[in-house]
This record gives sequence, C-alpha cells and structure tokens, in this order.
Amino acid sequence: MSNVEQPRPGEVELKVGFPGHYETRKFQVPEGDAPPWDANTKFTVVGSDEPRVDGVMKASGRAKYSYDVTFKGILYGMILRSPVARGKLTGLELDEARSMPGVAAVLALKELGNKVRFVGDEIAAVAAPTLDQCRDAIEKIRATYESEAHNVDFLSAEDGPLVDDSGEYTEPWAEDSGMEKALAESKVQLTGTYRTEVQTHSSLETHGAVAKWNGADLELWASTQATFGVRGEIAQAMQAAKVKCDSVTLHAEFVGGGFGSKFSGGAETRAVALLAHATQTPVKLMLDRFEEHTCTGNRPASLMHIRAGLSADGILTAWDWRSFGGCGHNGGGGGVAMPNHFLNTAKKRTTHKDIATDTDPARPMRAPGHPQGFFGAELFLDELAAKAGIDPLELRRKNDQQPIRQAQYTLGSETFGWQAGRNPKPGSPMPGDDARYLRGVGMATARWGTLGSHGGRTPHAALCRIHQDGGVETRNGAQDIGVGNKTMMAILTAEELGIPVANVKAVMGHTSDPSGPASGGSTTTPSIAPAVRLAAYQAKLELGKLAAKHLDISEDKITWAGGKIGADGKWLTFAEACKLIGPNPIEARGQRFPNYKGEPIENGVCGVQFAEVLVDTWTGLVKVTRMLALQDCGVVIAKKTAESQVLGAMIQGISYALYEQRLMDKRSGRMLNGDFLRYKVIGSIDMPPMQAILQTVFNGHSNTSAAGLGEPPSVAAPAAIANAVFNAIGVAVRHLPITPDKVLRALNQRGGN
Amino acid sequence: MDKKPKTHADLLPKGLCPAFLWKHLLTHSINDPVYDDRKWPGDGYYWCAKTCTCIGPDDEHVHPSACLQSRSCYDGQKIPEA
Repeated sequence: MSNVEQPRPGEVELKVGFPGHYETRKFQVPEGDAPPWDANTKFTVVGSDEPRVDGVMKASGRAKYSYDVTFKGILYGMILRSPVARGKLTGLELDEARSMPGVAAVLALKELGNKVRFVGDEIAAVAAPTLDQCRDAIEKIRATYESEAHNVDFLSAEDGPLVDDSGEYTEPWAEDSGMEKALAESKVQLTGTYRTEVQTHSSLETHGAVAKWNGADLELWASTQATFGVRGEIAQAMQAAKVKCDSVTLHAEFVGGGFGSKFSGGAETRAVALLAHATQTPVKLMLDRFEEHTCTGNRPASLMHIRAGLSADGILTAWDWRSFGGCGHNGGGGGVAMPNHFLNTAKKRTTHKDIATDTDPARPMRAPGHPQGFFGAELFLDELAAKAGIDPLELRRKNDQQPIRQAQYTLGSETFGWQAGRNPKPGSPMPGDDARYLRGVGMATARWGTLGSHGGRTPHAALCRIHQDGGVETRNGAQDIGVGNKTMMAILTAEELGIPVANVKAVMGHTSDPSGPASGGSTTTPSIAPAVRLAAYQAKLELGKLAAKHLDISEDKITWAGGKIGADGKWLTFAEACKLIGPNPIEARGQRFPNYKGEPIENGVCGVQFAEVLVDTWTGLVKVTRMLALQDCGVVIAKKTAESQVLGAMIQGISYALYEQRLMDKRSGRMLNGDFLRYKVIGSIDMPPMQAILQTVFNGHSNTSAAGLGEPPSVAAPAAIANAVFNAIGVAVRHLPITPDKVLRALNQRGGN
Repeated sequence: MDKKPKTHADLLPKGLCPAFLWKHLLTHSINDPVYDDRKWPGDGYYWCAKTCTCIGPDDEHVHPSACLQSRSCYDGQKIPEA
C-alpha cells in the first residue's frame, strides 16, 4: 500500500545497476516527469509473463495487415521493372496498355533518358481490377533500353578488394610504423580475411500499401516501420496534387515485419498514391516475393581483413582492420561494425570502403553492419586465442571492461556448460559421439549503443484515457512491427494504474495519435515507454482527485492499493472510481522527456550468446544443437515478447550463419534465387532448443529504464555459431554462410575425412 | 578522460534539402554517438521524399554531399550569399 508517489524533479538519487552490481547515482529528472523507477521499485506486472495482447488476434487471423485491407471496387496495382542491370530508358509506350480492358491507369515512373540502375528498377505502374489484368497490361507496355556493361559482384569491381584463390585479401597494408611496432612487440600475431554474403530482409508481409483518396485527403494503409516518416514523405511526393502533410493519414496497426527495410515508403507507396489519385478509386499495391527479394534492400556483403597482436598475458595490443562493403548502385550502406569493447588499450587502426555494384541498394537491416562485423572479429579472436593457447572466453574476460558482460560471461558459461561442452581436441569426436560427427561449442558478444530519445522538436508522446465504464486506452501513433510494443504499453499502463493488463486496450499505428519514432535502431520501446508511463501516471492523478473529492479526503492522502483507491478506511474500487468520471474520459498526454543528465550504467545494451553445433563430416552439414542468449535490455517490461525478440534474433542468426545468400547471375544481373524455394531461410526443423536469459538493468536514463531489443540479440549469433564450428572441426570457416561445400573444403584442408 | 564522441548530427552538412531522408532522422537518433570513423551520418542509405527512392528528381543519387542548394532539385531555403 502506498501513496501516489509525487514527482521529484531536479537532482534525484536512483539505485541503478543489475543483480550483484547495484550503486546509487545522481540523475537530473525533468520537471513534469513521473517519479523514475529504480532497483527499489516493487513491480506487479512489469517483467511478468503476460501474454502478447494481440496474440489471439494474430493467431486467429483477425489481425488486419495492410495486405488484408480492401474496399468494394478496389483496384490492384503492379509495377513494370527493368530487365536491364545498367543503362538508360530510351523508349516507353504506354497507350496499348492503357487501352486494355479494365485498365484504369498506367503511369510512367521514369522519364525517357533516365538511368536504369539494376534489374528490378521501377519503370511504370498500372492499376486494374484484378492482378491478372495488371499482368496483361504490364506485358503491353513497350519499354526499350540502352544497355551498358554491368557488374553485380563487388569482388569483381574495379575498386573492389583483390582476393586470391583461397579467399585471402592480397593488398599490402598501408605503412604505419606505430602499428608495425605494436604488432612486432606482441607475443602472438594473426592475420585473416573474413567474408559475408548478401542477406535479404525476407519480411513475411511484403512492402506495399493501400491508398484511398477522400477529396483532397489521402488515407494510406502501409506496411511500414515509420508511420510518421512515411506520412511526411508521401505528402512531399504528392505535392503536385497539392497534398499537405495534414491531409495524409497513415495506418499501420499490424505490420508483418520490416527488419529495417521499411523506413521509406518506397517507389511502391508513391506509385499506389499516384494510381489512386489518377483513378479516384482505392488501389492496393503489394509487392510479390521476387520483388521483395530484389527491390527492397538487403544486408550487404562484406569483406574484412584483420591482423592483431596479443600480449603474453592475453591482452590485445594491436588491432589493424580494413573492411569493404559490397553495396548496391548507390555505393553506400555497407559499413561494418566491430567489437570495440575489446580494444581498450590496443593500438588501433580501421579503414572501410563501400563498393558499388549494379544491384538493389543496401538498406538498414537488423543491427546494420554488426552481424557481419562481429562474425569476422569474433571468429578472428577465437583463432587468435587458439594460436595463443588461451580459452576464448577467458580472452574476452581479460579484454572486456564492461561489468554487465562480465556478469553474462559467468552466468552464461555456468548455464551453458562451457567447459564441459568445449571440444578439447577440435577435429576429433567428443567422447561418446559417433566418429562421423564433430561437436563444438562457441560464444560471442554483442553491444548496441542507444537508449532511445525524446523525439527532438516534437517529443514522442502517448495518450491514456480512462473511461467511465472502467475501460482504459493507451495510444501512440508509431507502429508495432510485430515485436510486442502494444503489450509493453498495456503492461506499463496496468502497472501504473494497478489494474489487470486485460483491462487495458493498447492501440498503435495511426498517425492521428501522438507522435512516435520509426521502429529502428532499437529505439521504439525506450523512446515510447517513458511517455506511456507518464500518461498513465497523470491520468491516475486525475482519477485520484475525483476519488478524493467523492470520499471527502485530501488529495495528498489518496492511496492506491490492491486495485482500490482511497484512505482512512474509505475506499473505492477502480471501477467505482471510474464511475465518477462522466461521459468524457480522463485523457492525459504524457511526453517523452530527454534522457536524464547523469551517468547511466551503460549507454546501450550488452549481450553474450553461446552455441553448440554438430558437424556431419560426411555431408558437411552443420546442425545447431542448442543456443543460449544472455541479454541486457534495461528493465524487462513484457517478458514474453522480450524473450520472443531474443529467440527470433537467434533464429535469424542461425539462418544468416548457415543458409541465407543472395545468388546473382553475373551475365543478366538478375537474382537467381528470389523466392523462398531457392533462397534458403531457416525452417522449424533446423531450430535447436534455445534459451534466453534476460538481464534487467536499471540504467537510470528515463522514468522506466527501458531499453530496446530489436538489434542487440541479432549481433552475436552468427559469430557464436562460426566459433562453435571452429571448435568442432578445428578449422575456421571464414566465409558465411557456412554451407556444406565450405565445411568439406575446411575438413580437407585439415587433412581429415 | 575520454573525448566526447562525435554524433551523427556532427556529420551532417548544413543546408541539406528538406526532402533528404535517412533512418536516424526518423528514429530521432541523430544525436547518438558514432563509434567509427565514417565520413557521413547514419547507415549510408539515404532517400528523397519527392521520389521515395535513393534517386532524386534529377535522376542522380541522394547523398548528404549532394543534396545541397547547388542541386537543381533542391527544395530548401537557400542560404543567402554573403
């Protein structure tokens, strides 16, 4: 039982940290914010196993995605795409397509003379009552091109990295006497080249939207991870139709994944808005799977060349890194991240270069640059540890100063059985195993460096409405792309009001509601959660005032306990108090204040993952047999959905490590495996037993200490698997995905089988 | 004492076209620190609000080094010449 805690603006002492590592630190809390939670806070539903609030709707098919939105008389849209990888559009005849039965609109998306930059580049769009009529119309468009020589392989580019037959980068290192000295003085040195291939986002719901004009107003149902961003973007794109931002409403209540590819509306959203405007009829344009693979971005390929030195006591003393990104036609987005947290005292040098190819450009993808960079760096570290005769986990312990990860090393090694699981003689079967199979265990680390933000000039905000009938709404206009933000909002509101989560309706995805961020960089939860909590806190204060007046007690005595409101022996249930509200609900708007000034425990989040693999030496197949993730995520709000995020990242990590690879036909420039039959993604039969241990960390940056989870757990998984393969077979497979052919080659290199 | 890390905002040229878009603008992460020696902000994928793609209305690539007032399709407030 407690009185409503009053706001404590100004310098506030908070107990921050994580189990076994708590301390009191001072933070500046802005005036108007709710009293911040810290490690002394006792929670009722925060961190509990509440189910996903929209789980039943999703499982039963009642959740309405953009793909499901339809209207009587709706038209379908389709895009004609370039078959040419590089060149110029020299002719475009649309009239025959326009005269086809039922065809309502045919629009050019490029002008004559425009460059064509990849197979799949947008040329024209059509609208018709059926997809078959769209296809027929597309076939009647006559587009001609002036082709130029193209290149779809960054290793074949003129400015690309030169590699030899064994895959090693061959260019000499640029002179740096300090680096040479640091390397020469180290006890153990190693050099290696590491590569990754292009991975497509493969969202289950493809890109696209439904557009409907009501006079001058445009309503869009878009599969997007940036409701407000795309609204503003489309308003600018439609300026010729005299559209302004305030006349565009965007809905994205349910989104079937994005992984970073859906920040922009893309040519398809602009096209559907134009088609609907031209026809004054609702139009739906959703891409097909081939378009999704080839025209909506990807995680680019990479090549990393690393040399480093280790001191006699296992400290990294030199780290020389050069990397390349294998990008699309814009020549950008190929940046590669590395685990800087190990390089505290090492002499360090890094260079990076993006290489353009005549392909679809890279777009941000779940922890951009990190899975590829951490794969290279962490596998390199394991090879270095092996050369030095050091346990790879011990190498990381020695070089990592972050206390959260140090705790994760200890808990993870105990939980996973690190010592017992390691293959003591890589390349040989473990005791009790069939001689055909080699078992190994590996681990890798992760970090992610953001704790969300307040949203700049238009702070993120949330609404909380308490209705006379006891119903409670929590609302924000950002999108829930499937990660569980609605559940997070419902739990925070229920916690603050002391009511069951089932009594709270969480609504997201409508730009008519308060502003929120795009879902990227793991910022959604840490950016929205403090506003959601503040809105509920303010609504609670208003309800408390009504209760105090009704019970004839002073407002400062009002106490909330066990679902009741009151004091001095006079009590109302929450439902009884709500009856005092009247027909208009209590409506409170909570804003997201800037991150507190002070010193958070960590400016991002930390993680460690462990993996065990079984390698079939006859076929080269790698099977991941179990995985463990330890993940800091600030304060765990919705445990089930948070765990689901971590498990999903591990699944995607296995898929990236072992299966996924875009294959391009060099001659035509076309993707050869642009479907789910030939582009291999992990299936349920490939998924091992997985465990996610969430580590609550009160970092003191906001009233909830919430952090995001989209990116962080996807960083370590591929590296942990590659390290496990190295431990199993005794040879590092330095090129993802670790397919059977590469494993067999590695086994041959070792001289066995 | 560590130097204050540079942020994405520090890498943005002045006078960028308002149609210039990038992820960190939408996630409001432009003041997040940059941990490497990249020259340009964000993830390297930039797009134009006018076209909704990484190609501008003038058929050239969108890039912070290019989407300035010297570009023919620039839609911002031009900086007065001194």
